[in-house]
Amino acid sequence: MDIGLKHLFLAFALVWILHLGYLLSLASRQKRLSEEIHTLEQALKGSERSR
Amino acid sequence: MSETRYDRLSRGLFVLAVVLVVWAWYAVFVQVPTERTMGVVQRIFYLHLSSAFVALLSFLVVLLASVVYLWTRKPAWDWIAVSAAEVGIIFIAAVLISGPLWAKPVWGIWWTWDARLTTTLILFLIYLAYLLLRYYTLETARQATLAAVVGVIGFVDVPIVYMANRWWRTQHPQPVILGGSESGLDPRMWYGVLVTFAAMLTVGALVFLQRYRLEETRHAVSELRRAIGRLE
Repeated sequence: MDIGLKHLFLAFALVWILHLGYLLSLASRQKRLSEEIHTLEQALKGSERSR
Repeated sequence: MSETRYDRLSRGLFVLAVVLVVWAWYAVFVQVPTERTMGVVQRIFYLHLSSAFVALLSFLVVLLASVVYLWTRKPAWDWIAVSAAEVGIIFIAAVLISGPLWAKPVWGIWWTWDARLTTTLILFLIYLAYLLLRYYTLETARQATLAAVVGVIGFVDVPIVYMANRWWRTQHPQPVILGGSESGLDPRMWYGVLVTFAAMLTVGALVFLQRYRLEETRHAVSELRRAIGRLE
């Protein structure tokens, strides 16, 4: 394959992997925090009920 | 912002981003003409330029949000600043990846320490330091204030990056857009530039929205922890 074409495909692949990877990491962090919110809300309700 | 508004906006931006990215790929790989001297590798330019545009725009958002945060002390401005800084880092990383991949077949080298390349690397490091500062400063208000100051000072490098190949002789090509009487692009190349700009801007907006939402959720977690702490 022509070196220019190889570098062109490599540039596009790496940049889009970077964007996709970052978006997936954001989604995973968001999911973890949403689960934590749910757990904390349950704990808060439990604390309020026991007072 | 309510969850439904976030979801609706995210979905809309996601669909728009997919359409524009596919269109940009088609424009870059099929529709734009091949440059006479560099050949097919010149097409990296569309990705490189539009990534740089979104990165510099993100750092402008960091500057404005940091100034407003220092003025008002409202946490939402700090969340906007950190979200824009992360978006900027991702896009400037795309610039630093695509640049050397273009340079190797054209210049014969991956990298050179000329003014444009060096100031761009410094820009990446400044905003990386900005993010590290946030992660290693524990107290929230102090963290936000320090970060806002760095966000304002760090922006000084942005106009230097932009002007570097106008002020100094650089290995980096002279500007083809807003670069004076001898600069310019073939109208078919302009089409490629505009489509990739639109695609990258939409991807940037989508990433920014997700990152801002994360910051808002993080704040909600801290508030809940504090509320539980008060009850115990």
